[in-house]
Amino acid sequence: MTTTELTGPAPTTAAAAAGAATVAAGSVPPVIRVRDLRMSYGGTDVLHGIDLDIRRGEVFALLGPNGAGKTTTVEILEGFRQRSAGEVTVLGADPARGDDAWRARIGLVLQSWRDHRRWQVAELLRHFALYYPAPRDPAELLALVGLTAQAGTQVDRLSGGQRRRLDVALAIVGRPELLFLDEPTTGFDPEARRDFHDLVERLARDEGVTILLTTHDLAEAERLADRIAVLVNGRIRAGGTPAELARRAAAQAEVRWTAADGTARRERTAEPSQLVWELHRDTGGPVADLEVRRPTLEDTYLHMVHRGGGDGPRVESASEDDGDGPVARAMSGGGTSGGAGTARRARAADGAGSTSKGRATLRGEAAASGGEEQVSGGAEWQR
Amino acid sequence: MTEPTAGATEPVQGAETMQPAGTAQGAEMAHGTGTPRGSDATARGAAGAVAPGKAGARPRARLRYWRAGVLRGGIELRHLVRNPKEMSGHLINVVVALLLAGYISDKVPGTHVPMAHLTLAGFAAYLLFQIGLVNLPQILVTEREEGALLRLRATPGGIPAYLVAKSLLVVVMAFGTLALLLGAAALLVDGPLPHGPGGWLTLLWVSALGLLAVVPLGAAIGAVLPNPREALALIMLPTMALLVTSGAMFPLGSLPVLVQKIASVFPLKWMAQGLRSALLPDAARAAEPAGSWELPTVALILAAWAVLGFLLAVPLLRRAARRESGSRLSERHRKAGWGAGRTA
Repeated sequence: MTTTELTGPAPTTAAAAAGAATVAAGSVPPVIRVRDLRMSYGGTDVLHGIDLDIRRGEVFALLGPNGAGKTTTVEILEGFRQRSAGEVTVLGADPARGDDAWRARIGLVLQSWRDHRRWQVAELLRHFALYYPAPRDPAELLALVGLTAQAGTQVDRLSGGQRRRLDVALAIVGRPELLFLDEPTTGFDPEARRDFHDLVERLARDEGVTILLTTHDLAEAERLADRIAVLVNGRIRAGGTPAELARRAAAQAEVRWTAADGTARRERTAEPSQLVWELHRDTGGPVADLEVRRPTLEDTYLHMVHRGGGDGPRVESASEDDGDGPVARAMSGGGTSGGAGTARRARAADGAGSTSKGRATLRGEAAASGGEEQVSGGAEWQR
Repeated sequence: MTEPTAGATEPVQGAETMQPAGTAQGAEMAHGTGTPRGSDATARGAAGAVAPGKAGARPRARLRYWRAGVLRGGIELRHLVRNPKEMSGHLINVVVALLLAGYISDKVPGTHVPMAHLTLAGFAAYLLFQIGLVNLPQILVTEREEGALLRLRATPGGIPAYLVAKSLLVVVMAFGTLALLLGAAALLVDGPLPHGPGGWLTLLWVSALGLLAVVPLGAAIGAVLPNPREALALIMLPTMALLVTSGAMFPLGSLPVLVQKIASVFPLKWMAQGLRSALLPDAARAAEPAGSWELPTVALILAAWAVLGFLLAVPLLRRAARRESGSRLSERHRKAGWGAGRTA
């Protein structure tokens, strides 16, 4: 990535990325700042004090099972729902009081949209460009989302994937600084999903758009997000980079190999590298059928969702030592300073493009956290 | 109530105040249940952060929204005209009216005025009535359910532009249909046309006021009705009942007094009566129940409905727009049985 590709809010993003070492992490106000957000419907609490800081240029995934409070949280941030209590700042304003100038800086992609069916693709895009002070060129935008061939197609004749890409085009026609993606790839076939992911990555990388993504899809979060927060029962149960999340779950790696006597062996260890090194040393050569399995984000996620399933109130007690403290700090930027900055910098330094993004992020993170994962970090995460 | 009324007189301003009005309530809610100090601080911070860029941008932004609204109305009209299904739905009314008028050959009792003229005047009133109270709510409900309202809510100036576009659409639809009906009737079945400038003027003000009486009401209905299919069923029944009892198609004198009284509460009777006064010769007055056109009463009742409609429509539309959100939309889609992949 080069800085010349950047448009719109680029200077800030570039500064955030390049200047992370010299500028303190707290000096750039977060795009989204949430403190002790609470929500109750008719006496039932659905959000129990959420803290979040989402930094400029970051891709942030909000992950969680149905009913966890994801949608409620996002709709409060979008200004579509009134919160019960707590502080929320989105792009410097309270979303509950966001005016048109504020709206113009935000883009929205919702899975439930099936509107403007009779309009033609290009006609619709040109129309929505009218509302913004400095819109993108509709034709270029069509090319960006890969719908140039469909410019004259009626909207209700698009496929599901095409429709969602049109929604993205409509969401970014006004050059928003912040983009909300609500379970954007639900019902997509694998190819449409991959195209969509490429598009999102391009937006984050080339345009410096801050993206808040909600999803059930773990692989999607892992691929796209700089940081992930897992919401369970109205609380953030874990947060951080995909690598941090996995470490926090304290799941152990599984090492499998075939011993000299031909028996299949497996061992669980927190130090797979140590074990493998010892195996090689003991064998004095190649180890047959050697396999190291890292816990996937999915393992981590299911672990958390399962644990958070029936014991909501318990985690509030001070004695609960399941990482809530560090998590809260990580999510609100108090503890791990420059998590995203580091990732972004790693990504910026990596010229190879979108495919290496995940690795760059993870590598950057490993470096930031003291390098304990450096030996075994990258490759195994690239499922 | 001062604020909604202010909004009612000027659609764009009304819609722009939509946001603050809604959020003021929300802020009260936040104060009631939670941390007042925090909310205040946020509010002040937000106001400070948003204020600077506004001053110069406002008028230009408003112009942009008006322009977008007018263009939107034009595009929607084009879509309407090019949609054979919907166009035939509108044209069938005109065709039925013409066939009926060609078939009826007797005179209005006690006059030399052809009965067909009375029926055509009634049809004209009914078509205006239908555009405001059937077609408009259907359009609003459909677009709300598909998410167009939500998308416009998420777009700066989207709601004002939407109101501008819809007003334009309804006015063009109404006067287009009226012109088509009267023009075709005059050419094909010797239908009635206003006599002299006075007649034309009456035609104009009765149609305009009649439209004003039913359009806000239709918008209010469109804001509360659940989904397009139910909406049609819920609206059509009372509409047809009024069509029969309002004396639109045949002289009211032949109906029971109680039915006449009930029907005379609603605007259709007065729209039809007003249009008869514009289209029929003065001699036809004799067939009216009151023996006269009662134009002042026509104006009064239609104006009263217009005011009532605005009083209902502004808060209801504001509420409908405020309540829109992605999850509510998907919830309704789920209930309506729309699968997630149906767009494909």
